[in-house]
Amino acid sequence: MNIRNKLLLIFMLVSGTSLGLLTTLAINNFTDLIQREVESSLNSIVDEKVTLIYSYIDSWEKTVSTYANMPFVIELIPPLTDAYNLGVDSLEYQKYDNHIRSSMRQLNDSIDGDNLFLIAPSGEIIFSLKHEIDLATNLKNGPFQSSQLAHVFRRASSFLETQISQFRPYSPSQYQLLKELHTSGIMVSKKTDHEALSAFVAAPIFRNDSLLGVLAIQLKGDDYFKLTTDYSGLKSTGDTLISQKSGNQVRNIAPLRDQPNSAHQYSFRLGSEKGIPIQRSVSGEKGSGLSVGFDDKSILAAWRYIPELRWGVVVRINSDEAFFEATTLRQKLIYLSLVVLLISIVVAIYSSHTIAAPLMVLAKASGKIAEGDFSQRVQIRGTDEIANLGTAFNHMSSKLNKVVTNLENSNKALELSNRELDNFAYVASHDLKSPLRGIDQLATWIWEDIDDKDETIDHLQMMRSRVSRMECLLDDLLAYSRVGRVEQKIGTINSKYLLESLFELVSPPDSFTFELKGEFPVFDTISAAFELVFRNLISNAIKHHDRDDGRIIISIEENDSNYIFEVTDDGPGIAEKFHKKIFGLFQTLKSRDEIEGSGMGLAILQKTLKLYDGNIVVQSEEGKGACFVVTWPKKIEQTTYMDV
Amino acid sequence: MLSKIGNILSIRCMLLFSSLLFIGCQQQDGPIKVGVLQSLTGTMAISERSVVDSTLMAIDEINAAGGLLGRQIEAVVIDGKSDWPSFAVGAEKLIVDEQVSVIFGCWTSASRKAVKPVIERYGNLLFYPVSYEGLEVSPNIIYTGSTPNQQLSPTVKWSIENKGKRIFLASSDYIFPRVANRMMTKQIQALGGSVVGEHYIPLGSTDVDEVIKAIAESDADVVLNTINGDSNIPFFNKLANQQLSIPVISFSITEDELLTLDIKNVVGHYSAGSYFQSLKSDENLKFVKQFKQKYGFERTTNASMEAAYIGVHLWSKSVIQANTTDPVMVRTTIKGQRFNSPEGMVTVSATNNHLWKPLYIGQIETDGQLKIIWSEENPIRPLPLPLYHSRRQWKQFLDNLYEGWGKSWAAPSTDQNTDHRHGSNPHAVTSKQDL
Repeated sequence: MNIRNKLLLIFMLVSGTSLGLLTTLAINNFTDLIQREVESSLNSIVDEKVTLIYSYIDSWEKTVSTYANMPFVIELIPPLTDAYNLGVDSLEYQKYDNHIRSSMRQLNDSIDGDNLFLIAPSGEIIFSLKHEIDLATNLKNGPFQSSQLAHVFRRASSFLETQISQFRPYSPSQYQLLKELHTSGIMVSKKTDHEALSAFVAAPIFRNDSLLGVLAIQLKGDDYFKLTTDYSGLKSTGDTLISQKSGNQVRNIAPLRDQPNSAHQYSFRLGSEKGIPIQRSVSGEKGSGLSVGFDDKSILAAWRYIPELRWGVVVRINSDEAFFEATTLRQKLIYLSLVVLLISIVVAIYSSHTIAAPLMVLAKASGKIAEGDFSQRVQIRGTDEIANLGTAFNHMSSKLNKVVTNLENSNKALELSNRELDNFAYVASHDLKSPLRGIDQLATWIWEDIDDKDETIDHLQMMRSRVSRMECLLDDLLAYSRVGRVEQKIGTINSKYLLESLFELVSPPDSFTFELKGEFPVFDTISAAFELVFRNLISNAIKHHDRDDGRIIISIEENDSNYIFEVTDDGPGIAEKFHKKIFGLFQTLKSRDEIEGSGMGLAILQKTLKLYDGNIVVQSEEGKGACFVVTWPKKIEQTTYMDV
Repeated sequence: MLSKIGNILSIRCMLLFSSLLFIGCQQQDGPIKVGVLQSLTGTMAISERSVVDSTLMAIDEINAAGGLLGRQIEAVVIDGKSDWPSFAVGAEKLIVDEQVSVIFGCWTSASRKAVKPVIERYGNLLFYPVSYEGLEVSPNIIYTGSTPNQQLSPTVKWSIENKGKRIFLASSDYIFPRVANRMMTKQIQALGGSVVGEHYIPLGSTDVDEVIKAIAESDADVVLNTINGDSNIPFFNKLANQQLSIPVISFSITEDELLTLDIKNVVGHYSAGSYFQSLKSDENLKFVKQFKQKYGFERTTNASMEAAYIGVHLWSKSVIQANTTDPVMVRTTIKGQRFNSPEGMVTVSATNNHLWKPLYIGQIETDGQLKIIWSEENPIRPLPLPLYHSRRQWKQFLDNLYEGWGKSWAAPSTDQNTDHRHGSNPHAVTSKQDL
């Protein structure tokens, strides 16, 4: 895979995933937002319903208590009890019953009651507005002792409390209902179809502190369950469900929204997997969230429990409808992200091209350089980093070119010095061989002229001189080769005394004069080297002088790092063409017979001085004396010696 | 299932992105401050300190489980000094200076009545953990102790059915017994029983001779005892000395009080309340174990401590549901809130901010614990304001008591060693008021 395709892939991966992630994030955020909003509105709707139900409970309980405290109610109990004691069929009872009936009906109707009872502390129902079969039965031990009416009677008479009961079928009313259905010719197939749920509210009737009886009012459920059929804020699928437990079944007691006669229509076992909010609500929980409805639909719901009635109240809405906007948004976002993805692919192709193409050119050029073609240059377009890279590449290749040229030059120099070395070998062997040839010749002559004693002595004398010259040559060659190989000690010298003693040491003719000019220092340096340099220069000056009354002047100057010594003589001088030659090996300007010398003195000096970063140059004209300028470093590191 | 995976994914993505982009943006910083307002000094400290302990234990429990809304709860404890005006000052300080989201506090009715106007003025929230005389409803107070109809009414009925119809009422002279006796008398008569004696001694008084004499002479079947605090020591001692074998059912004696009483003199008598340490539910075993581990094995738990513990948890659940600690929002979500507590399942009434609570009658045993001999475990609906009198009549009744005691909620005390429950003030004049 080349870089262009790689870039394209990375670009698309990055843009694709981030786009996908952002889209998911946006959708989820929006879905969460919608869920929170719908949930909070469901919560407030269910709280509103619950508040409404509580306001009814509160008003029923307060109203019934108020009735029980009304003086006329209190006053009618004793005569009613008296009449009741004569039997409900007695004329007295019927007369009294008639007497109070209209006022009792008024009380009952003013809170939309279904029936009104007056009950004696003993539990006897002594008055019933509807005269159902429960009249004159005893709620403590009679047939209806486990009814909700009996329950509220006990709360009122034993605990003096006014509490609403649960909504349950009440047998006397149920009996009455079935009787009416029967007379009107309706066949009863399913009992629950015609079940009427009733709740009771009872309050104790006191005269001072003695309990006279209990006033109870029956409330018919159907009249109140419709309270919940206000569906504002619940869109089209929203619904309010009121359910209660009966045994281990959960049953709805208020009709569903789309089925006005559907009370008691659904019922299911507690613990089953549907109707979760309903199950939670009747179990006493309070909450809201996504869940599964009794119809197995996915719903968003809020649920509450009303412990006073043991009702579970659920407000729900189908998830489809609740999240409709989120679904629409999701579709829109998916389309949008496809478009963005398309655009990004185009951009990706373009930019991978603009980045990758010059890179590929560069790669090609680099390949050529690697093959040895340093003349490679790339064309530069634009001013971005890629262009900078190109410029850098061109710069690099031109530098590379220069370096390679330099390297070639040094190689040439190296070759030259190698040749010199060869030259040296030649010169050395030639020069070293010629005295030997002389010795050989002389020995032959001695052998031939052995009779002529005088000549033989001459020849032998000459031979000795050649042999000693050979010795001298070899010694100096050895000295030259030793420069730098031996570690030199640093010591303190007094240059003035040292130079004076060096002059004395070479034993000049008495007519020679020697002069020092300037302030000669006392300093730390390699004394052996210093001695070598100046002994040679002084002895050269004497040796090569053409007169006996020569004059040698050594002057000194200094700069930051060096002492500069000038050794001047007034001898014959050196022609300029020899200025270089004199520093070569075995170089003498006159024949060795004229001036005995190996021709290596100055070569040794130069080598020594170079070793310590010093220098020697000659300034001279033929016939005008010579001046050797020695640059001597003020500080010499002890470790500086030639690494052999 | 799919939506669940989607949710998890979305949570992951949101975590990833928020950690990348919005670091620190959404976090509300600092702990949630809550107030704890009880007497740490003075005569009430002995009772109220224990309530502070169980309150703090509940807070620690929530903090240990990760805190609330991702934040830790920090309790600011203020000493009410057994002095009712100090409670009002403390409440104001907690709300205004400390900016607390809720206050858990008060023991005596007098302190609650002092704090009530402060809490209402600032729209804050108070959790009150003591069983009391009722006759009060505030939208800003959650009452986690028993109301009279939860504690007194079932006990009266049980007494008449099991012990007899001749009932003697022995009481300390302050607001709770006055209201309690008023309610009980009415119920006793309705149930065909009779009050054969009703006697009050000043709070903290050790002079019990008169009441013992009255009981001895009354030929009562049972004594309903609302005597509070240290007066119980001479009361039970003298009762035992007189060899009166009349059963006493107390409403203000819990495990804590039994520690101070001479146990041989109270064994066999009864106590009625919504909670006893000896309850065998898993929740209670855990609660007691946790408390003893935290505060020492010799410590006991009682109804008020447990009610305080319930209060913290109910508040915490409501905060989670409201997704805020704003008291206004929490006041909405607290309605109908449930908690599976040591005493059983409790639910906050949506209409009067009291709890649906059970009732237990326990018989005192030699180890200072109460053996449950009868219970109404179906939670009883709280009815703080009996409807047989109007609200105005009850208010008049309370006002008369208050004025009669010289603007105080208790009759004067004869000595200073008082440990009073249900509201008191030792500086007042005696007066008996009735409806």
